Amino acid sequence: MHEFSLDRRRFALGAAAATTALILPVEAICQPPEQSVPAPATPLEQQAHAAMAKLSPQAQAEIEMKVNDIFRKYGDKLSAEQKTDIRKVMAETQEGLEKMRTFALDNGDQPATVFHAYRAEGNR
Amino acid sequence: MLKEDVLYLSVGELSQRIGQRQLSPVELTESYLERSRSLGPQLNAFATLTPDLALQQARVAEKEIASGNHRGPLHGIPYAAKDLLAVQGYPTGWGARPYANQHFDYDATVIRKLNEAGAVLLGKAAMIELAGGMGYRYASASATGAAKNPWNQDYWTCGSSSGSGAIVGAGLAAFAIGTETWGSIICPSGFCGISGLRPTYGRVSRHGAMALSYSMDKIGPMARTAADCDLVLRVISGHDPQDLGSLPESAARYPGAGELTSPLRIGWLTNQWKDVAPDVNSAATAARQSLAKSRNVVMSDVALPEGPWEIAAGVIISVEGAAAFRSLIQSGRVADLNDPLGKIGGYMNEEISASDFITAQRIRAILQKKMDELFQQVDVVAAASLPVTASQLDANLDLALTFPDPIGGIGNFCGLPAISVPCGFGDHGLPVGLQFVGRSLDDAKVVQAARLFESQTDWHTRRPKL
Repeated sequence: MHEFSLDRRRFALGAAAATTALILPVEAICQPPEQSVPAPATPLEQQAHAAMAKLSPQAQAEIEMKVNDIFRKYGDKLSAEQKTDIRKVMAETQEGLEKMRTFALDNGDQPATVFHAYRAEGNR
Repeated sequence: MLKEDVLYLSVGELSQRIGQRQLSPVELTESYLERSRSLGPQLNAFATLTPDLALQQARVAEKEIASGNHRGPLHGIPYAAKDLLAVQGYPTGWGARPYANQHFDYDATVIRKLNEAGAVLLGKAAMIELAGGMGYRYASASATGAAKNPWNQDYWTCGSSSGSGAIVGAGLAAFAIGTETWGSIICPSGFCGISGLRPTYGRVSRHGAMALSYSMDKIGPMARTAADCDLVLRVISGHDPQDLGSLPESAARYPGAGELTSPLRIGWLTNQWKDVAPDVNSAATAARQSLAKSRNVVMSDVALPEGPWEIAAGVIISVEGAAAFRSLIQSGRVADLNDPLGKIGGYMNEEISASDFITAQRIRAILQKKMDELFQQVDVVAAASLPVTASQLDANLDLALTFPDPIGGIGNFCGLPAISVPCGFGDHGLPVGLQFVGRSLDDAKVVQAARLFESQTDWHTRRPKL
Protein backbone atom coordinates (compact mmCIF):
# COMPACT_ATOMS: atom_id res chain seq x y z
CA MET A 1 0.00 0.00 0.00
CA HIS A 2 2.90 2.38 0.62
CA GLU A 3 5.47 2.93 -2.04
CA PHE A 4 7.86 4.20 0.57
CA SER A 5 9.20 1.61 2.93
CA LEU A 6 9.94 3.12 6.29
CA ASP A 7 12.31 1.33 8.54
CA ARG A 8 11.20 1.85 12.12
CA ARG A 9 14.79 1.83 13.26
CA ARG A 10 15.73 4.62 10.91
CA PHE A 11 12.63 6.74 11.38
CA ALA A 12 13.03 9.74 9.09
CA LEU A 13 16.78 10.04 9.17
CA GLY A 14 17.84 12.41 6.50
CA ALA A 15 14.62 14.31 6.02
CA ALA A 16 15.35 17.45 4.11
CA ALA A 17 15.46 21.17 4.82
CA ALA A 18 12.91 22.55 2.40
CA THR A 19 13.16 26.14 3.47
CA THR A 20 16.91 26.37 3.20
CA ALA A 21 16.74 24.98 -0.33
CA LEU A 22 15.33 28.31 -1.39
CA ILE A 23 18.57 30.10 -0.69
CA LEU A 24 20.60 27.86 -2.97
CA PRO A 25 21.79 29.45 -6.21
CA VAL A 26 19.89 28.17 -9.21
CA GLU A 27 23.13 26.86 -10.69
CA ALA A 28 23.63 24.66 -7.68
CA ILE A 29 20.12 23.27 -7.85
CA CYS A 30 20.47 22.48 -11.53
CA GLN A 31 23.91 20.96 -11.20
CA PRO A 32 23.83 17.28 -12.19
CA PRO A 33 24.78 15.05 -9.24
CA GLU A 34 27.41 13.20 -11.22
CA GLN A 35 29.56 16.32 -11.13
CA SER A 36 29.47 16.56 -7.35
CA VAL A 37 29.47 12.87 -6.36
CA PRO A 38 32.61 10.87 -7.13
CA ALA A 39 32.26 7.71 -9.17
CA PRO A 40 31.32 4.85 -6.82
CA ALA A 41 34.04 2.42 -5.88
CA THR A 42 32.81 0.50 -2.82
CA PRO A 43 29.44 -1.26 -2.48
CA LEU A 44 28.34 1.45 -0.04
CA GLU A 45 29.28 4.16 -2.52
CA GLN A 46 27.40 2.30 -5.23
CA GLN A 47 24.30 2.15 -3.01
CA ALA A 48 24.60 5.85 -2.25
CA HIS A 49 24.99 6.66 -5.91
CA ALA A 50 22.02 4.49 -6.86
CA ALA A 51 19.83 6.11 -4.22
CA MET A 52 20.81 9.60 -5.38
CA ALA A 53 20.20 8.69 -9.02
CA LYS A 54 16.53 7.99 -8.29
CA LEU A 55 15.95 11.55 -7.11
CA SER A 56 15.07 14.70 -8.98
CA PRO A 57 17.82 17.30 -9.47
CA GLN A 58 16.15 19.50 -6.85
CA ALA A 59 16.06 16.66 -4.35
CA GLN A 60 19.68 15.80 -5.09
CA ALA A 61 20.68 19.39 -4.50
CA GLU A 62 18.79 19.40 -1.23
CA ILE A 63 20.58 16.25 -0.10
CA GLU A 64 23.95 17.66 -1.09
CA MET A 65 23.25 20.85 0.82
CA LYS A 66 22.28 18.97 3.96
CA VAL A 67 25.19 16.57 3.65
CA ASN A 68 27.57 19.48 3.25
CA ASP A 69 26.06 21.12 6.31
CA ILE A 70 26.70 17.96 8.33
CA PHE A 71 30.26 17.72 7.03
CA ARG A 72 30.84 21.38 7.81
CA LYS A 73 29.74 20.89 11.41
CA TYR A 74 30.89 17.35 12.11
CA GLY A 75 33.19 16.35 9.26
CA ASP A 76 36.21 16.05 11.53
CA LYS A 77 34.38 13.39 13.54
CA LEU A 78 33.37 11.29 10.54
CA SER A 79 35.24 8.66 8.54
CA ALA A 80 34.97 8.47 4.76
CA GLU A 81 32.69 5.45 5.12
CA GLN A 82 30.41 7.27 7.53
CA LYS A 83 30.19 10.21 5.16
CA THR A 84 29.13 7.90 2.34
CA ASP A 85 26.66 6.18 4.65
CA ILE A 86 25.12 9.54 5.53
CA ARG A 87 24.65 10.42 1.85
CA LYS A 88 23.10 6.99 1.18
CA VAL A 89 20.63 7.08 4.08
CA MET A 90 19.58 10.64 3.36
CA ALA A 91 19.01 9.86 -0.30
CA GLU A 92 17.02 6.73 0.55
CA THR A 93 14.66 8.61 2.86
CA GLN A 94 14.14 11.66 0.67
CA GLU A 95 11.28 10.12 -1.34
CA GLY A 96 9.10 9.70 1.73
CA LEU A 97 9.77 13.22 2.86
CA GLU A 98 8.77 14.63 -0.50
CA LYS A 99 5.59 12.58 -0.39
CA MET A 100 4.78 14.08 2.99
CA ARG A 101 5.29 17.60 1.66
CA THR A 102 2.71 17.07 -1.07
CA PHE A 103 -0.02 16.15 1.42
CA ALA A 104 -2.88 18.62 0.96
CA LEU A 105 -3.16 21.00 3.90
CA ASP A 106 -5.31 24.09 4.28
CA ASN A 107 -4.08 27.20 6.03
CA GLY A 108 -6.34 26.48 8.98
CA ASP A 109 -5.12 22.92 9.54
CA GLN A 110 -3.48 23.28 12.92
CA PRO A 111 -0.64 21.13 14.22
CA ALA A 112 -1.52 18.36 16.66
CA THR A 113 0.79 19.83 19.28
CA VAL A 114 -0.38 23.32 20.09
CA PHE A 115 0.58 25.79 22.77
CA HIS A 116 -1.64 25.94 25.84
CA ALA A 117 -1.66 28.73 28.39
CA TYR A 118 -0.27 27.48 31.70
CA ARG A 119 -1.49 27.87 35.25
CA ALA A 120 -0.04 25.76 38.06
CA GLU A 121 -2.36 23.14 39.48
CA GLY A 122 -3.80 23.95 42.87
CA ASN A 123 -2.89 27.65 42.75
CA ARG A 124 -5.65 30.22 43.14
CA MET B 1 14.14 -22.64 44.54
CA LEU B 2 10.56 -22.74 43.36
CA LYS B 3 9.70 -24.88 40.37
CA GLU B 4 9.49 -23.39 36.92
CA ASP B 5 5.74 -24.07 36.94
CA VAL B 6 5.39 -21.46 39.68
CA LEU B 7 7.72 -18.94 38.07
CA TYR B 8 5.65 -19.02 34.90
CA LEU B 9 2.37 -18.40 36.70
CA SER B 10 0.53 -15.23 35.77
CA VAL B 11 0.55 -12.21 38.05
CA GLY B 12 -3.08 -12.96 38.87
CA GLU B 13 -2.28 -16.52 39.93
CA LEU B 14 0.83 -15.53 41.90
CA SER B 15 -1.11 -12.79 43.64
CA GLN B 16 -3.86 -15.18 44.63
CA ARG B 17 -1.37 -17.60 46.17
CA ILE B 18 0.47 -14.78 47.94
CA GLY B 19 -2.78 -13.35 49.27
CA GLN B 20 -3.77 -16.78 50.60
CA ARG B 21 -0.27 -17.14 52.08
CA GLN B 22 0.42 -20.24 50.01
CA LEU B 23 3.40 -18.50 48.43
CA SER B 24 6.12 -16.45 50.10
CA PRO B 25 7.14 -13.21 48.32
CA VAL B 26 10.66 -13.72 49.69
CA GLU B 27 10.93 -17.24 48.31
CA LEU B 28 9.44 -16.09 45.02
CA THR B 29 11.91 -13.24 44.81
CA GLU B 30 14.88 -15.46 45.68
CA SER B 31 13.80 -17.95 43.03
CA TYR B 32 13.45 -15.33 40.31
CA LEU B 33 16.81 -13.84 41.32
CA GLU B 34 18.49 -17.23 41.14
CA ARG B 35 16.97 -17.88 37.72
CA SER B 36 17.93 -14.39 36.57
CA ARG B 37 21.52 -14.86 37.72
CA SER B 38 21.66 -18.15 35.86
CA LEU B 39 19.82 -17.34 32.63
CA GLY B 40 20.00 -13.56 32.52
CA PRO B 41 23.62 -13.31 31.34
CA GLN B 42 23.04 -16.06 28.79
CA LEU B 43 20.22 -14.03 27.24
CA ASN B 44 21.76 -10.58 27.83
CA ALA B 45 18.45 -9.81 29.51
CA PHE B 46 19.43 -7.49 32.35
CA ALA B 47 21.43 -4.30 32.57
CA THR B 48 21.55 -4.51 36.36
CA LEU B 49 20.13 -6.82 38.99
CA THR B 50 18.92 -5.16 42.20
CA PRO B 51 19.00 -8.08 44.66
CA ASP B 52 19.41 -6.02 47.84
CA LEU B 53 16.46 -3.80 47.02
CA ALA B 54 14.39 -6.76 45.83
CA LEU B 55 14.89 -8.79 48.98
CA GLN B 56 14.24 -5.79 51.17
CA GLN B 57 10.97 -5.07 49.34
CA ALA B 58 10.01 -8.74 49.42
CA ARG B 59 10.57 -8.99 53.17
CA VAL B 60 8.45 -5.89 53.77
CA ALA B 61 5.72 -7.32 51.55
CA GLU B 62 5.79 -10.65 53.33
CA LYS B 63 5.56 -9.00 56.72
CA GLU B 64 2.69 -6.73 55.69
CA ILE B 65 0.71 -9.52 54.08
CA ALA B 66 1.24 -11.73 57.14
CA SER B 67 -0.22 -8.96 59.26
CA GLY B 68 -3.29 -8.75 57.02
CA ASN B 69 -2.23 -5.68 55.06
CA HIS B 70 -2.50 -6.88 51.45
CA ARG B 71 -2.06 -3.81 49.28
CA GLY B 72 -3.40 -5.33 46.08
CA PRO B 73 -2.62 -7.65 43.16
CA LEU B 74 0.99 -6.54 42.72
CA HIS B 75 1.94 -6.83 46.38
CA GLY B 76 5.01 -9.08 46.62
CA ILE B 77 5.18 -9.60 42.84
CA PRO B 78 8.71 -9.38 41.35
CA TYR B 79 9.21 -7.39 38.16
CA ALA B 80 11.91 -5.81 35.98
CA ALA B 81 11.98 -2.24 34.66
CA LYS B 82 13.51 -1.13 31.37
CA ASP B 83 16.82 0.59 32.05
CA LEU B 84 15.53 3.98 30.98
CA LEU B 85 13.48 4.36 34.17
CA ALA B 86 15.24 6.16 37.00
CA VAL B 87 15.76 4.11 40.16
CA GLN B 88 17.48 5.84 43.03
CA GLY B 89 20.67 4.12 44.11
CA TYR B 90 21.23 2.18 40.89
CA PRO B 91 22.67 3.10 37.49
CA THR B 92 20.22 4.06 34.76
CA GLY B 93 22.24 3.62 31.62
CA TRP B 94 19.62 4.01 28.86
CA GLY B 95 21.22 0.98 27.17
CA ALA B 96 24.03 3.20 25.95
CA ARG B 97 27.73 3.28 26.81
CA PRO B 98 27.93 7.08 27.12
CA TYR B 99 25.42 6.86 29.99
CA ALA B 100 26.68 3.67 31.63
CA ASN B 101 27.44 5.33 34.96
CA GLN B 102 24.46 7.68 35.06
CA HIS B 103 22.58 7.90 38.37
CA PHE B 104 19.42 9.73 39.41
CA ASP B 105 18.59 10.72 42.96
CA TYR B 106 14.90 9.95 42.58
CA ASP B 107 12.60 7.22 41.29
CA ALA B 108 10.60 7.50 38.09
CA THR B 109 6.89 7.93 38.75
CA VAL B 110 6.19 4.43 37.42
CA ILE B 111 8.77 2.94 39.81
CA ARG B 112 7.29 4.91 42.70
CA LYS B 113 3.76 3.71 41.91
CA LEU B 114 4.87 0.09 41.66
CA ASN B 115 6.76 0.48 44.92
CA GLU B 116 3.63 1.87 46.58
CA ALA B 117 1.67 -1.11 45.24
CA GLY B 118 4.17 -3.42 46.94
CA ALA B 119 5.79 -4.77 43.78
CA VAL B 120 9.39 -6.02 44.04
CA LEU B 121 12.03 -4.65 41.67
CA LEU B 122 14.38 -7.45 40.60
CA GLY B 123 16.47 -5.41 38.20
CA LYS B 124 16.81 -3.10 35.24
CA ALA B 125 16.05 -4.71 31.90
CA ALA B 126 18.51 -4.42 29.02
CA MET B 127 17.47 -2.29 26.08
CA ILE B 128 18.55 -0.95 22.73
CA GLU B 129 20.77 2.11 23.18
CA LEU B 130 18.69 5.27 23.62
CA ALA B 131 15.63 3.17 22.71
CA GLY B 132 16.83 3.29 19.12
CA GLY B 133 16.55 7.04 18.99
CA MET B 134 19.62 7.52 16.82
CA GLY B 135 18.68 4.59 14.59
CA TYR B 136 20.23 1.12 14.53
CA ARG B 137 21.02 -1.67 12.13
CA TYR B 138 21.99 -4.51 14.40
CA ALA B 139 20.65 -6.27 17.49
CA SER B 140 23.99 -5.54 19.11
CA ALA B 141 22.99 -1.87 19.43
CA SER B 142 23.02 -2.16 23.21
CA ALA B 143 25.62 -1.62 25.91
CA THR B 144 24.80 -5.12 27.18
CA GLY B 145 24.94 -6.90 23.83
CA ALA B 146 22.24 -8.42 21.67
CA ALA B 147 19.34 -9.81 23.70
CA LYS B 148 18.66 -13.43 22.82
CA ASN B 149 15.22 -14.80 22.20
CA PRO B 150 14.31 -17.37 24.88
CA TRP B 151 12.56 -19.50 22.26
CA ASN B 152 15.62 -19.81 20.08
CA GLN B 153 18.83 -18.16 21.15
CA ASP B 154 20.10 -17.78 17.61
CA TYR B 155 17.41 -15.16 17.19
CA TRP B 156 16.75 -11.69 18.54
CA THR B 157 14.05 -10.47 20.91
CA CYS B 158 13.36 -7.29 18.90
CA GLY B 159 13.76 -3.87 20.49
CA SER B 160 13.92 -1.53 22.02
CA SER B 161 12.41 -3.21 25.10
CA SER B 162 14.62 -6.18 24.31
CA GLY B 163 15.49 -7.20 27.86
CA SER B 164 11.89 -6.82 29.00
CA GLY B 165 10.85 -9.27 26.28
CA ALA B 166 13.57 -11.76 27.17
CA ILE B 167 12.89 -11.54 30.91
CA VAL B 168 9.17 -12.24 30.69
CA GLY B 169 9.63 -14.83 27.93
CA ALA B 170 12.22 -16.70 29.97
CA GLY B 171 10.32 -16.58 33.24
CA LEU B 172 12.90 -14.40 35.00
CA ALA B 173 10.21 -12.11 36.48
CA ALA B 174 6.45 -12.06 36.68
CA PHE B 175 6.21 -8.98 34.48
CA ALA B 176 8.32 -6.17 33.10
CA ILE B 177 7.92 -2.55 32.22
CA GLY B 178 8.70 -1.56 28.64
CA THR B 179 8.36 1.60 26.63
CA GLU B 180 7.29 2.27 23.09
CA THR B 181 7.85 5.19 20.77
CA TRP B 182 7.25 3.05 17.72
CA GLY B 183 7.14 -0.74 18.02
CA SER B 184 9.22 -1.17 21.16
CA ILE B 185 6.57 -3.00 23.18
CA ILE B 186 4.56 -4.63 20.40
CA CYS B 187 7.56 -6.07 18.52
CA PRO B 188 9.42 -7.70 21.45
CA SER B 189 6.12 -8.99 22.81
CA GLY B 190 5.36 -10.56 19.44
CA PHE B 191 8.83 -12.01 18.97
CA CYS B 192 9.06 -13.36 22.55
CA GLY B 193 5.57 -14.89 22.77
CA ILE B 194 4.31 -12.67 25.58
CA SER B 195 1.53 -10.14 26.12
CA GLY B 196 2.52 -6.48 25.90
CA LEU B 197 0.31 -3.43 26.26
CA ARG B 198 1.06 0.01 24.85
CA PRO B 199 -1.29 2.39 26.66
CA THR B 200 -2.91 5.49 25.25
CA TYR B 201 -0.41 8.36 25.13
CA GLY B 202 -0.55 10.35 28.35
CA ARG B 203 -2.07 7.64 30.49
CA VAL B 204 1.21 6.66 32.16
CA SER B 205 3.61 9.32 33.43
CA ARG B 206 7.06 9.49 31.80
CA HIS B 207 8.56 11.48 34.67
CA GLY B 208 11.95 9.93 35.37
CA ALA B 209 12.00 8.08 32.05
CA MET B 210 14.51 8.81 29.31
CA ALA B 211 12.90 11.04 26.71
CA LEU B 212 13.31 10.11 23.08
CA SER B 213 10.19 11.64 21.57
CA TYR B 214 8.26 13.94 23.88
CA SER B 215 5.03 13.53 21.95
CA MET B 216 5.29 9.81 21.21
CA ASP B 217 6.94 8.02 24.15
CA LYS B 218 4.68 5.66 26.13
CA ILE B 219 5.32 3.30 29.04
CA GLY B 220 3.50 0.00 29.38
CA PRO B 221 3.49 -3.49 30.88
CA MET B 222 4.83 -6.68 29.33
CA ALA B 223 3.55 -9.85 30.98
CA ARG B 224 2.29 -13.37 30.45
CA THR B 225 -1.34 -12.50 29.81
CA ALA B 226 -3.55 -9.62 28.78
CA ALA B 227 -5.19 -9.82 32.20
CA ASP B 228 -1.78 -9.25 33.81
CA CYS B 229 -1.21 -6.19 31.62
CA ASP B 230 -4.57 -4.93 32.79
CA LEU B 231 -3.56 -5.34 36.44
CA VAL B 232 -0.27 -3.50 35.97
CA LEU B 233 -1.76 -0.66 33.95
CA ARG B 234 -4.31 -0.05 36.72
CA VAL B 235 -1.40 0.63 39.06
CA ILE B 236 0.89 2.70 36.84
CA SER B 237 -1.74 4.89 35.15
CA GLY B 238 -2.87 8.28 36.37
CA HIS B 239 -2.18 11.98 35.99
CA ASP B 240 1.23 13.36 36.89
CA PRO B 241 1.83 17.12 36.79
CA GLN B 242 5.53 16.39 36.28
CA ASP B 243 4.82 15.04 32.80
CA LEU B 244 3.49 17.73 30.44
CA GLY B 245 2.00 15.02 28.23
CA SER B 246 0.01 13.52 31.10
CA LEU B 247 -3.75 13.40 30.62
CA PRO B 248 -6.09 14.81 33.29
CA GLU B 249 -6.76 12.32 36.08
CA SER B 250 -10.27 11.51 34.82
CA ALA B 251 -8.79 10.31 31.53
CA ALA B 252 -5.41 9.06 32.68
CA ARG B 253 -6.68 6.79 35.45
CA TYR B 254 -7.28 3.33 33.99
CA PRO B 255 -10.13 1.61 35.79
CA GLY B 256 -9.47 -1.81 34.28
CA ALA B 257 -11.21 -3.87 31.65
CA GLY B 258 -14.49 -5.24 32.90
CA GLU B 259 -16.42 -8.14 31.45
CA LEU B 260 -17.83 -7.65 27.97
CA THR B 261 -21.40 -6.37 28.03
CA SER B 262 -21.86 -6.47 24.26
CA PRO B 263 -20.03 -8.17 21.40
CA LEU B 264 -16.73 -6.59 20.39
CA ARG B 265 -16.59 -5.24 16.86
CA ILE B 266 -13.20 -6.35 15.55
CA GLY B 267 -11.98 -5.00 12.23
CA TRP B 268 -9.37 -7.20 10.56
CA LEU B 269 -6.90 -4.96 8.76
CA THR B 270 -6.75 -5.72 5.07
CA ASN B 271 -3.89 -3.37 4.26
CA GLN B 272 -1.52 -3.68 7.19
CA TRP B 273 1.24 -5.95 5.99
CA LYS B 274 2.27 -5.95 2.36
CA ASP B 275 4.03 -9.33 2.51
CA VAL B 276 3.37 -11.74 5.34
CA ALA B 277 5.66 -14.74 5.81
CA PRO B 278 3.77 -18.02 5.26
CA ASP B 279 4.32 -19.23 8.83
CA VAL B 280 3.01 -15.97 10.26
CA ASN B 281 0.12 -15.90 7.83
CA SER B 282 -0.92 -19.38 8.87
CA ALA B 283 -0.98 -18.48 12.57
CA ALA B 284 -2.72 -15.14 11.99
CA THR B 285 -5.38 -16.71 9.78
CA ALA B 286 -6.08 -19.32 12.44
CA ALA B 287 -6.29 -16.53 15.03
CA ARG B 288 -8.81 -14.65 12.95
CA GLN B 289 -10.90 -17.78 12.51
CA SER B 290 -10.81 -18.44 16.21
CA LEU B 291 -11.98 -14.92 17.01
CA ALA B 292 -14.71 -15.02 14.36
CA LYS B 293 -16.20 -18.13 15.97
CA SER B 294 -16.83 -16.32 19.23
CA ARG B 295 -20.36 -15.18 20.04
CA ASN B 296 -18.75 -12.13 21.61
CA VAL B 297 -17.16 -10.94 18.40
CA VAL B 298 -18.53 -9.26 15.30
CA MET B 299 -15.76 -9.56 12.73
CA SER B 300 -15.37 -7.42 9.63
CA ASP B 301 -12.66 -6.27 7.26
CA VAL B 302 -11.40 -2.70 7.51
CA ALA B 303 -8.71 -0.71 5.74
CA LEU B 304 -6.45 1.95 7.17
CA PRO B 305 -6.55 5.38 5.54
CA GLU B 306 -3.84 6.04 2.98
CA GLY B 307 -1.35 8.83 3.54
CA PRO B 308 2.21 9.74 4.49
CA TRP B 309 1.60 8.80 8.11
CA GLU B 310 4.75 6.79 8.67
CA ILE B 311 7.15 9.36 7.30
CA ALA B 312 5.39 12.11 9.25
CA ALA B 313 5.66 10.04 12.43
CA GLY B 314 9.32 9.48 11.65
CA VAL B 315 9.91 13.19 11.22
CA ILE B 316 8.44 13.85 14.66
CA ILE B 317 10.56 11.21 16.35
CA SER B 318 13.71 12.30 14.55
CA VAL B 319 13.34 15.96 15.41
CA GLU B 320 12.30 15.38 19.01
CA GLY B 321 15.10 12.84 19.41
CA ALA B 322 17.66 15.24 17.96
CA ALA B 323 16.54 17.85 20.48
CA ALA B 324 16.46 15.39 23.38
CA PHE B 325 20.02 14.20 22.66
CA ARG B 326 21.42 17.46 21.35
CA SER B 327 24.40 17.54 23.70
CA LEU B 328 25.29 13.92 22.91
CA ILE B 329 25.13 14.61 19.18
CA GLN B 330 26.94 17.93 19.15
CA SER B 331 29.69 16.72 21.47
CA GLY B 332 30.42 13.85 19.13
CA ARG B 333 29.89 11.33 21.92
CA VAL B 334 27.42 9.50 19.67
CA ALA B 335 30.62 7.86 18.41
CA ASP B 336 30.57 5.86 21.64
CA LEU B 337 27.27 4.21 20.71
CA ASN B 338 27.57 0.61 19.50
CA ASP B 339 25.65 0.75 16.27
CA PRO B 340 27.08 2.16 13.02
CA LEU B 341 23.81 3.91 12.20
CA GLY B 342 23.45 5.19 15.75
CA LYS B 343 26.83 6.89 15.45
CA ILE B 344 25.63 9.07 12.53
CA GLY B 345 21.84 9.17 12.83
CA GLY B 346 21.73 12.19 15.11
CA TYR B 347 23.69 14.31 12.64
CA MET B 348 21.10 13.59 9.94
CA ASN B 349 18.16 14.17 12.24
CA GLU B 350 19.44 17.65 13.01
CA GLU B 351 18.99 18.58 9.36
CA ILE B 352 15.20 18.23 9.36
CA SER B 353 13.60 21.63 8.94
CA ALA B 354 11.15 23.25 11.34
CA SER B 355 8.79 23.59 8.40
CA ASP B 356 8.79 19.83 7.83
CA PHE B 357 8.31 19.24 11.54
CA ILE B 358 5.23 21.45 11.69
CA THR B 359 3.88 19.93 8.48
CA ALA B 360 4.14 16.53 10.14
CA GLN B 361 2.28 17.85 13.18
CA ARG B 362 -0.51 19.22 10.99
CA ILE B 363 -0.82 15.91 9.17
CA ARG B 364 -0.98 14.27 12.56
CA ALA B 365 -4.08 16.21 13.58
CA ILE B 366 -5.84 15.21 10.37
CA LEU B 367 -4.94 11.57 10.88
CA GLN B 368 -6.26 11.65 14.45
CA LYS B 369 -9.72 12.56 13.13
CA LYS B 370 -9.59 9.94 10.40
CA MET B 371 -8.73 7.24 12.91
CA ASP B 372 -11.44 8.35 15.28
CA GLU B 373 -13.91 8.01 12.42
CA LEU B 374 -12.62 4.52 11.67
CA PHE B 375 -13.28 3.58 15.28
CA GLN B 376 -16.94 4.50 14.82
CA GLN B 377 -17.19 1.35 12.69
CA VAL B 378 -15.23 -1.02 14.94
CA ASP B 379 -14.08 -1.19 18.54
CA VAL B 380 -10.61 -2.47 17.74
CA VAL B 381 -8.60 -3.35 14.66
CA ALA B 382 -6.50 -6.50 14.48
CA ALA B 383 -3.57 -7.89 12.50
CA ALA B 384 -0.46 -9.98 12.99
CA SER B 385 1.91 -8.06 15.28
CA LEU B 386 4.72 -8.44 12.74
CA PRO B 387 4.77 -9.97 9.25
CA VAL B 388 7.76 -12.13 10.19
CA THR B 389 9.01 -14.05 13.20
CA ALA B 390 12.16 -12.98 15.03
CA SER B 391 15.20 -12.06 12.97
CA GLN B 392 18.58 -13.73 13.44
CA LEU B 393 20.88 -12.27 16.08
CA ASP B 394 23.49 -11.05 13.62
CA ALA B 395 21.10 -9.94 10.87
CA ASN B 396 21.40 -6.56 9.20
CA LEU B 397 18.02 -5.21 10.22
CA ASP B 398 17.92 -2.91 7.21
CA LEU B 399 17.47 -6.10 5.22
CA ALA B 400 15.77 -8.46 7.68
CA LEU B 401 13.29 -6.20 9.44
CA THR B 402 12.39 -3.40 7.06
CA PHE B 403 8.85 -3.07 5.80
CA PRO B 404 5.96 -0.62 5.83
CA ASP B 405 4.17 -0.70 9.19
CA PRO B 406 1.11 1.54 8.79
CA ILE B 407 -0.70 0.56 11.98
CA GLY B 408 2.52 0.87 13.99
CA GLY B 409 3.13 4.31 12.55
CA ILE B 410 -0.49 5.41 12.84
CA GLY B 411 -1.04 3.94 16.29
CA ASN B 412 2.02 5.61 17.75
CA PHE B 413 1.57 8.85 15.82
CA CYS B 414 -1.96 9.15 17.24
CA GLY B 415 -1.12 7.76 20.67
CA LEU B 416 -3.56 4.86 20.35
CA PRO B 417 -3.56 1.88 22.73
CA ALA B 418 -2.42 -1.50 21.42
CA ILE B 419 -1.66 -4.96 22.71
CA SER B 420 0.20 -7.94 21.32
CA VAL B 421 -0.61 -11.47 22.45
CA PRO B 422 0.85 -14.78 21.27
CA CYS B 423 -1.17 -16.56 18.56
CA GLY B 424 1.01 -19.46 17.49
CA PHE B 425 4.46 -20.46 16.34
CA GLY B 426 6.29 -20.21 13.08
CA ASP B 427 9.53 -21.61 11.70
CA HIS B 428 12.46 -22.33 14.04
CA GLY B 429 10.09 -22.58 17.03
CA LEU B 430 9.59 -18.81 17.10
CA PRO B 431 6.38 -17.18 18.37
CA VAL B 432 3.86 -15.25 16.29
CA GLY B 433 1.97 -12.33 17.77
CA LEU B 434 -1.51 -10.93 17.20
CA GLN B 435 -2.11 -7.23 17.83
CA PHE B 436 -5.24 -5.29 18.66
CA VAL B 437 -5.31 -1.50 18.37
CA GLY B 438 -8.09 0.68 19.77
CA ARG B 439 -9.45 4.17 19.87
CA SER B 440 -7.73 6.70 22.10
CA LEU B 441 -8.52 5.84 25.77
CA ASP B 442 -10.08 2.51 24.77
CA ASP B 443 -7.26 0.59 26.44
CA ALA B 444 -9.91 -1.57 28.10
CA LYS B 445 -11.26 -2.68 24.74
CA VAL B 446 -7.88 -3.84 23.46
CA VAL B 447 -7.43 -5.74 26.72
CA GLN B 448 -10.92 -7.26 26.36
CA ALA B 449 -10.18 -8.37 22.81
CA ALA B 450 -6.83 -9.87 23.82
CA ARG B 451 -8.31 -11.51 26.91
CA LEU B 452 -11.09 -13.02 24.83
CA PHE B 453 -8.52 -14.43 22.40
CA GLU B 454 -6.44 -15.84 25.24
CA SER B 455 -9.56 -17.46 26.70
CA GLN B 456 -9.99 -19.35 23.41
CA THR B 457 -6.37 -20.42 22.99
CA ASP B 458 -3.43 -21.62 25.06
CA TRP B 459 -0.52 -20.00 23.24
CA HIS B 460 0.12 -17.70 26.20
CA THR B 461 0.68 -20.71 28.45
CA ARG B 462 3.52 -22.15 26.33
CA ARG B 463 7.05 -21.99 27.71
CA PRO B 464 10.44 -22.10 26.01
CA LYS B 465 12.90 -24.86 26.87
CA LEU B 466 15.85 -23.21 28.55
